[in-house]
Amino acid sequence: MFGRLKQAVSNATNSVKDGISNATEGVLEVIEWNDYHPEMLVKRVPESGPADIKWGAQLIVREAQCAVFFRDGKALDVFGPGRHTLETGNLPLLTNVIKHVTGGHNVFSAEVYFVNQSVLTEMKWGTPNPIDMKDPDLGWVQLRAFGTFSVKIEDPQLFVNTLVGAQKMYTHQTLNNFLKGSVRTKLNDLVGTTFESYAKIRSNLDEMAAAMKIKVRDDFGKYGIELRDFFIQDVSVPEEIQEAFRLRAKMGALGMQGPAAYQQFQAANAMRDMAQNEGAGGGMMSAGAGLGMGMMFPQMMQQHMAGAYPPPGYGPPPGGYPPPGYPPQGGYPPQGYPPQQGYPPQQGYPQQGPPQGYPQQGQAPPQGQAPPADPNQAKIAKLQELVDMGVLSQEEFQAKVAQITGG
Amino acid sequence: MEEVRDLRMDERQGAGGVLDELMRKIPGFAGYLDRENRRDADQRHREFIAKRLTQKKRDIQDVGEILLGSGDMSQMSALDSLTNKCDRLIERTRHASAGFSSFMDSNAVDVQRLDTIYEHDLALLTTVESLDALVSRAESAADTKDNVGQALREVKKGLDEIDAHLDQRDKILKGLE
Repeated sequence: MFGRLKQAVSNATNSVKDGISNATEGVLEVIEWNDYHPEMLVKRVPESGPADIKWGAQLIVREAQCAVFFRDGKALDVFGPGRHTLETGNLPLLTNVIKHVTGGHNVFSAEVYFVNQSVLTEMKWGTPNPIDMKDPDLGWVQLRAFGTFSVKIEDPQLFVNTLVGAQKMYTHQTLNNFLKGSVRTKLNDLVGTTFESYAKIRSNLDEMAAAMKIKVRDDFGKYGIELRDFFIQDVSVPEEIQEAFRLRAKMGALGMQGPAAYQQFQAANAMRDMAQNEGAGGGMMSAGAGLGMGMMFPQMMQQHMAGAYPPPGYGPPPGGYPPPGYPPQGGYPPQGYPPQQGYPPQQGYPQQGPPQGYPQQGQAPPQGQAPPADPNQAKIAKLQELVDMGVLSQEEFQAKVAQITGG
Repeated sequence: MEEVRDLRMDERQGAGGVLDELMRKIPGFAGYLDRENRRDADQRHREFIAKRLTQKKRDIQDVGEILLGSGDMSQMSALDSLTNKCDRLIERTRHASAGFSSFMDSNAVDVQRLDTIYEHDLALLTTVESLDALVSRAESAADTKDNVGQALREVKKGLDEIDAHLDQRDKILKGLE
């Protein structure tokens, strides 16, 4: 009797224990997202399927997070930062559902999506295909641009419903890939409708970024996302056009303007390159190119500086130059030049062997050939030439001769 | 304003339910609960203000959209500066100190101080609502292209007032006012 009673009590006790165990096994009493990672946008609790949540369980939501409660695929409530006790008082929308579904039991099934509400930075955008633009100076150009932007999930319920639930978008990277398509489209539109030249874009990058924030507002907003920052790191044209810009700057620095300037600039560069290229053309080509450039540059400078040269205050040389009597009467070359027999002499040139009077090896210099008889005579002859050229007057000549001869 | 305050406090006290009533029987715990209720009510109120400010930010962006529609980029930087300022104010309001003081802090935040903070935050709502008129004026100016810059400068002044109001809140919490 006593043994049977003991057995019955034991069975009843085990039965109660099992019941408790079944009720508490897998039942959530504290729900939180504490293994936060900046790459993660959303954490679902549990990771799959619905969770059994104890009535009166604690939901802990941290700053920069919020929790969206789901049941049967529908978002029922959103909880902000703080500790929330899941009960009738603070889950009014759930109350009726829970009563209906659980029949008054203290466990209900639901899913919780924790949403990262911090500002998501370092999202990248770019233009894999160039944007065509008609520039008044450059014609059709292909622009490329890239930069970064940052967003914040402003409406978590909308975000979870539109992107997370439907597209399983849980990470920073997947969201970035999704949003940058919209950025590209709006940038294309903005460039085409608002900016008329590449130069204007370059000088209005701030304004362009601000305008982009307004442009994509609705595109992002429909998913509960807000664009916080938009940075344009660069807007560029192809390399050959950039090279043309640099060339134009160079020509501008040299004072060259107008349609012919480019040809002249290129010609001058080509000659300079040939002159510097000692290997290919040989010395003569180098010399010729150098000479050509030397002759061309003054002309070019003269053309480009026409009207501006000489600068004010820099006039012609003062009167008195050239001195009277210059050039010498009779023209140039002076009479008697070239010599009557022609130059070089037809016969006997070049001379075979050493010139006459040049000492042979081992011999002494020839006598009576070397210095002129009187050095003063040579000086006087030079002075006479200067008189003939009109550099010296007759009086100056006489004075110099007297000085030389000591007279 | 009184109604708003009472509504928030009632919401908070109603949320505690039976558990709160039981805990109030614990000696010394009722005072803690009173302070917690005030902080929670204040946080709800600040969240409400943050949402209103978010709406104002959208209104300012609407002004930008009007200008952009007509190809006018001249005020884009000014508008961007205003929306950035709005972002800053929204976050400052949402994440403002709740008024906790540590055990070692000589400047304890008591119920009276929390009440002062709460009143201060209620007054903040009035300042935020006064932005409505300024933003509407900016919208009209954008429509007519008449003195948009001046209208935006007025909006900036309104936002600066909110900023100053939040600075003052910090001072109250630190016992400097």
